[in-house]
Amino acid sequence: MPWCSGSDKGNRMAYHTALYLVLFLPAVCLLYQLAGVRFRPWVLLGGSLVFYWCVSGAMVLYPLAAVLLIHDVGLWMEAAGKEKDERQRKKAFVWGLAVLLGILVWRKYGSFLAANGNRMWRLFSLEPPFSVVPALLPIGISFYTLQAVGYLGDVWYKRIPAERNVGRLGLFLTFFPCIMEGPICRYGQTGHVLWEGRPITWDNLTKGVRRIFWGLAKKMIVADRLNILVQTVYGKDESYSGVVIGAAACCYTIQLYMEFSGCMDMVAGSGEIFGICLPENFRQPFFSKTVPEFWRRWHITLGAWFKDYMFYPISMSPALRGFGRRLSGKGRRRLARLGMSAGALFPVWLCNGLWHGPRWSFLFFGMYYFVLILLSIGAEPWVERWKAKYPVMGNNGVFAGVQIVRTWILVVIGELFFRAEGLRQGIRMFCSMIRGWRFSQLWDKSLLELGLDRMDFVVIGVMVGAVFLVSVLNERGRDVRQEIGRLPLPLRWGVYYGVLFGICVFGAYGERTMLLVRQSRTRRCPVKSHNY
Amino acid sequence: MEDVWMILRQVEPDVDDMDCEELIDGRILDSFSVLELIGRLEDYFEIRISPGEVTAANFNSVRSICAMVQRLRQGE
Repeated sequence: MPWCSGSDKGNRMAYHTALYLVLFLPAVCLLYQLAGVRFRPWVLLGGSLVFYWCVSGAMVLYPLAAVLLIHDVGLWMEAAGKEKDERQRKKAFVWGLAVLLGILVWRKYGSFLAANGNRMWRLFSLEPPFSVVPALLPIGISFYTLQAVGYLGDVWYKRIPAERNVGRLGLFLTFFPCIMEGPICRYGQTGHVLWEGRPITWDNLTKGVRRIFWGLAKKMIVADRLNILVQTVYGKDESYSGVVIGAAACCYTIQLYMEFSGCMDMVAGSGEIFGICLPENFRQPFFSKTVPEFWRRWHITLGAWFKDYMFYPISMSPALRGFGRRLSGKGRRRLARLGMSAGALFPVWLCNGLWHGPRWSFLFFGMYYFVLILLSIGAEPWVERWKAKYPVMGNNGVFAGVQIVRTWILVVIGELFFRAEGLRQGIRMFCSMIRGWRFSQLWDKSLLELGLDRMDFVVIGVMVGAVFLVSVLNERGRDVRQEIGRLPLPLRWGVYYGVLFGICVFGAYGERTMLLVRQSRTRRCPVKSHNY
Repeated sequence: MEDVWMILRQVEPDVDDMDCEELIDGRILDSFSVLELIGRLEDYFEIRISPGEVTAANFNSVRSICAMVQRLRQGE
């Protein structure tokens, strides 16, 4: 079943490909710079539509329809607001949401719902009523739909005025660096900056290109190489157990981070060239001491979107507030907090899981984090008491290290299920990992029979070490990019050439790698790019 | 201003700078603290804070929280 329309076309135009980096991006840059300030945003919009056409063909009509829809609904809401007609304003908002989300559900979850509906029917020995027709998905539908809903939400809450310029809205929704993988932007933050038509400066160009190369290095040196090992284990998981499965889950977590954050570096770098600062999606997530903290550092724009447009409105709804007040009034403050948290977090994590795709394993992934976060809220009183009893633990480095490792383990378990082809495979792999755990597999060469040799592990180790070092420095508040820029010329260029050399020499190329990358993308992409 | 500061300290005792301008951006207040703060502000000042008011701009400092409370009390 194809996960998107023209997935091969999508692969060919992905952000790490020569087609994008050597042909498309430079061509748009050139046209953008040659055009007058007034026309530059139109060049970006035209480039974005061409990009979308290249990866998704006629499906470009979907984001275009979404642009027209939110443009009209926004103006409708504003007009109703001026006439103090709250009923009409609400009607416009609900109508706009229903159409946007309806299309998303129909295209993305239609066959999943139909297949599961048929299963229910069969339980009662009835003939399945739904025909399961795999639907082609417009690329980036999950991303641009969330942006569109966010725009309508902001107009509804009167955080921003409705936009009259349909071109500006169009560029916000379809800006080519963000359309395939995010980040999920807010209109109030990027809508106007995108339309300013700032000139490409030498400083921005070099900064952007450097960031693109850093992202490319993460993806090609680490992620694409680890993909070989991960595919080998996940492709035939019955043949493996214990440490090997644990190692595959760890490798997948690293692969996912390197691929997704690398892609975000390429996206942010592409934006920087045009003087556009896109929101960051990662902030050293593997330094998190708790699971909630991890989600404040990982895929930040998605978490922030769910927080602002789902968590707060649900938490502050009259029903949940009433529930909380009733329990608080009876002196059960902690229970009220836990109940309110559960009431607001359940739909958030249900949607978070399903947003990643129409699969039971993604639903499980969402519920896994819902339970973990709820447990951490429930355990707060005991943790506070424990901290008060042993105050020295608060600043203890060893204790912090233990907390970080605990978070890693929980995250790796979550990713084990996330990467699985289905919930059944996830459970099977988790059970055989626990049952067959033998530390001797670490040194009996089991790990060297998974498609990677010693040299591959050395290359991965060096690059992961470099990323770790940069993360440590960033975590300490140092801007590594700026500091490299201030180095003496030979040293600075040594670093740049080192990264370039690393990509050219140690990047995972070749038929086998490309085949595996293609397979994983069409069957079930290792990164969020399956998230069309 | 003093009242808001007192309420904020009840919610987040670790906040020690009344002039802090990064309560949200600096991740001093998390989403649960914000919700608790909202509940207390609503009870104390007898106002209704809608989800649309929950932005970093409104909750980043004691001053911005005061401005929001004042605006809501005046019924704007």
